[in-house]
Amino acid sequence: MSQINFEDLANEHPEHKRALRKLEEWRRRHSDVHIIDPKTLAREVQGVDATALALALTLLVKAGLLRRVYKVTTPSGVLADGEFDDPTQIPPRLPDRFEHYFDTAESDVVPVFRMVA
Amino acid sequence: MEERPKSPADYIHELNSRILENPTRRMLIIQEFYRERVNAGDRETADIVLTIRSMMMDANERNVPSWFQPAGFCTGILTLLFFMAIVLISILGHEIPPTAKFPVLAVFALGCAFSVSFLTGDAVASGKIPFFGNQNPLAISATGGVAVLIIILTIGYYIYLK
Repeated sequence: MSQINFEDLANEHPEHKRALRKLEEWRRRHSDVHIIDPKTLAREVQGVDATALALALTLLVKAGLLRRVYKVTTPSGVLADGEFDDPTQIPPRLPDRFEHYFDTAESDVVPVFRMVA
Repeated sequence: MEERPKSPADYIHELNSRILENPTRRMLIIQEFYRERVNAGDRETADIVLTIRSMMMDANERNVPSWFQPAGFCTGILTLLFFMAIVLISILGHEIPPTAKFPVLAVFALGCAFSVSFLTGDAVASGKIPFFGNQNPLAISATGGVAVLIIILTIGYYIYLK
């Protein structure tokens, strides 16, 4: 996600300029991160509300700079390894990080964003 | 009167209400909601709603005050300084009077308990201790603090006071 990509997107979508700029600043500080967890992002990016951040992330997905995948929280609250393009693909049982299977019925779905290229 | 189109906030509210009615079917409800939006040709809104919901839920779960972490460090440092001062005084040839032994132990136990309590609460709330998820950070924080207080007072009584 280079500076030019952000700049172009911000010019194309001036209504999301502020959120894109904040995302760009965050990205510069976390250049080694390959997966963006929106929870972490919302905690660390100040001055932009959740809706604006989600819309900016969606713009980056549409531009092909990010890929949105869905993960599932295990009963202990961490994210299971499995990734799904769509929440409807999540099976009724999944292995946690210790390969113990758990029922996903009461689990939450968490979208995360993978860097593309 | 024409109905106002629903915003992502309306959908989040609707989804959360459905989940609250039946929390044991959380996954199925989310999947149903997603399927409904996709069938209505509105997958993008479904994706945005789940992203915003994830951010908002985290903010609600992070319910320890922001001063917890600095307070934990300060209490720890103050306790350390107090004991460094006692060591210094001992080196200079002074002794802790027997009547001051319990207050010294109490300061040590309370200092450690507060420090552990504040730091554990912050760590749990920010998800740094994956074992707990980030559920009930205040309860875990208080339990940790009380446990440390009891352990130090008990051990201190047998080693230092008795």
